[in-house]
Amino acid sequence: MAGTFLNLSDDDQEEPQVPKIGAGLKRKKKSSRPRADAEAVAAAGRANGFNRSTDTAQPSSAPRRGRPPLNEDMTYWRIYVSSDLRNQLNELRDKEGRRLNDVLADMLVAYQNGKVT
Amino acid sequence: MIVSVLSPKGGCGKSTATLTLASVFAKNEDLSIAIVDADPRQSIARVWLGKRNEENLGDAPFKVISDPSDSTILDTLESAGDDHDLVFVDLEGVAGLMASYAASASDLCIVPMRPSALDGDAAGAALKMIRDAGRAARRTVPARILVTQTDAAIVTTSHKELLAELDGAGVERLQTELMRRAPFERVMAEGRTLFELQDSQSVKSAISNTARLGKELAEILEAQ
Repeated sequence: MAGTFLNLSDDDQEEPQVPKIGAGLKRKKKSSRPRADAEAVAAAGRANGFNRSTDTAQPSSAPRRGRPPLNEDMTYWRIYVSSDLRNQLNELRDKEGRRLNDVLADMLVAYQNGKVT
Repeated sequence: MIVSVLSPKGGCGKSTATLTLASVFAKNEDLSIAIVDADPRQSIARVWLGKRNEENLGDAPFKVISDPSDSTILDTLESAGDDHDLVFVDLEGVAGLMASYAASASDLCIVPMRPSALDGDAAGAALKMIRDAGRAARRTVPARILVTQTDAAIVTTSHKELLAELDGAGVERLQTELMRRAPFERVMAEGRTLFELQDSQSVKSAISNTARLGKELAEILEAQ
């Protein structure tokens, strides 16, 4: 059983040898296989849970809630607010689709405009 | 030929494996090598190449093509495959459609995994997706597990159990493992290839490790 758990070989002491590997790849003819059906491939991916898309999220008129759509340029930020304020913000989100991010963005613009004038 | 390096698990060594394998194949000047960086984080096209430019290290020994978009990746891979002898595709560590597209266009998929249960679960999902993406493309896409970040000195119990499970289930794996070595981390941090790092015993060991892996990979690809 010696050497089963402890790798005591001297591999680490060898001088690195980098032969010209892959010479056979140069001689290989490039295969001209037909392009796969992208929809079928995507369906195969989704069936295995590989469903995250890199496409830009399309704007929707439906109320937005929960996590932002993937790929939207946002970062995670944890803040504490009073429960009353949170309820009001949730109501605004459900009724008008305006998220906390939108409210904060409006506030920032209003603040900056007020500062200029 | 196109080799995709994919797993839905982050941190298992996809970008490191991609960079080091591309570097070792690029030592053969007769070959034209490219990396397609399909990771939206652009670890290679933005971070690695950016560092390289900052340090004025000159052109990389392989071409880096950036395409982190589902809608164009198949075109990009087709074009890269036509223009280069060997193309490595680095993918994001998420369960994304991009991985399915890349798998369907690949001659081989490498699924890196550390010897841990979580990585094993992710690798299993990746293998099933590769199989089904191949079926959707009406062909068989070969896949190999690459065990990464193993200890050079000690074979842990979980490592032993992992290998036994893989071999017992008939899952094909690369016999060479990519060990946990400081030079692999420095490659990304310094924007250099392994061969451009300051010479040391640990760099020699990392080069030796990667050369063995590259040779094994070349034999698989040449046999196809």
